[in-house]
Amino acid sequence: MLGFDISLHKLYAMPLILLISLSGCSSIPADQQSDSRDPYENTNRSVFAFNLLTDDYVLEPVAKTYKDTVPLPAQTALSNHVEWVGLPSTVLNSSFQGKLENATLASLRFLVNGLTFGLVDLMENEDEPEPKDFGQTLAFTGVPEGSYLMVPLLGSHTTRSLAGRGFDFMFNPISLVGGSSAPAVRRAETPIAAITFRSNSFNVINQIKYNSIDPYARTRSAYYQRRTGQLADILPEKADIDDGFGAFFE
Amino acid sequence: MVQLCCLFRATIAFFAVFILAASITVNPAQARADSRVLKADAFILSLINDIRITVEAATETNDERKAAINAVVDTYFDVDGITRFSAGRYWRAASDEQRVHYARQFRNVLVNTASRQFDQIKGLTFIPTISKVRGDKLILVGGIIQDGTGALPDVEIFWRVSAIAGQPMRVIDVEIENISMLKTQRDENEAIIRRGGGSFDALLQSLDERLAAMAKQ
Repeated sequence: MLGFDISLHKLYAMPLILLISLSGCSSIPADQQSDSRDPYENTNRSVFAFNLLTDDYVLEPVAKTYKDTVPLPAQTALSNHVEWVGLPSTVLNSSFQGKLENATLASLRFLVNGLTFGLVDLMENEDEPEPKDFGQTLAFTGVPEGSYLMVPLLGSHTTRSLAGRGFDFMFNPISLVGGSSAPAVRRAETPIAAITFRSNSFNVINQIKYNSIDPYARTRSAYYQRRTGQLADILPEKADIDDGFGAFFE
Repeated sequence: MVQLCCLFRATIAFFAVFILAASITVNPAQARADSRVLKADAFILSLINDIRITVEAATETNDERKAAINAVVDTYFDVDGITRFSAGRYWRAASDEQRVHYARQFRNVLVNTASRQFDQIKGLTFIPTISKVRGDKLILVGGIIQDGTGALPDVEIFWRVSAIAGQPMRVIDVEIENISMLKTQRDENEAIIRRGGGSFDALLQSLDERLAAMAKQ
């Protein structure tokens, strides 16, 4: 049975509604921006402060408890499951981007690991598909990147990657599967993904949070670099022979 | 007919030898690149070994840790280049006094931060993977960082090594999962200066405050 869980999409829309209500959509003059890609910096910094507070009071303590109390095999199983849930998006977007080998790898992995709902990686020693999202597909079709956006609860995005994320969420085949317990299971997916992500990145995020002078600027820089890496095979013109380190030797 | 056959065989033999020779004759530029890569790989393995020794040995006092970290940094890292690059485009406009102040505090922040993370480094293993040449001055030495306990997922890491002919190799950056630590530091520093109205002193003040906060912790 196929269904469409409207409440989940409302849940997804919440960060966007929060973002819009917080922003008033006011951009700041170019000479006051600390990065030309970030015209809404003041608003973004407010959202970042909100996200940090959420992390202080919810995510970090929950992730710490999860790390300290949940047995390692169970943590691995949940991380595997979160990865597995994202595979249909990789299949779709790899196909859109003409990366058929990656689509095949992701399909196989999804089907084989589906025997355990993704909890056990039965293809541990096989080639892993590269995760692909609709934001990358939009880049592939030439859609411009847009501005940097710090989204409540969801963190760093660009306009393009946020649109892509919405598409991936709504059209992931898993979100269309129905059944009596399906809505409850799907509602649990987002917090599970958030906790496993926070737990797997515990030290890295804490390093940024507690050891940076400007955690916002550091987060933004890390996001853009990571995203550039993910887009390297789509936008090879962005790749630089000296990786942007030419100035190092001047 | 016999002559024709001999000629045919000689021709085949000539081409076979030619193809064989071509396949084993290494392009000199390629050979140089390969030897630089091998040297860079060995350099990083030596660094990893020294870090391991440092982590295992210097755990008594914080000062001991810092001294050990400083020794590793001076041996393997291009400290001057990293300092200059991390200040971004504002380095050129900074006065000598500001540069000296920045270099001292930047190093202090780095060493203090590293010494606090000794416990996180324990139990990690570096497994070399593939190294790449970038232009004529850089080599990326790749590897995977594995957590022996299995608590953390594997992490892809690249050491960016400057390999300029006639100069000793030095690490200039560490890149983890496509994120360059040096570029991130530079972006953060430039953001602080820009938000401080373009004043280099805004960065110096932030560094001083950060160090003061670290001293209290």
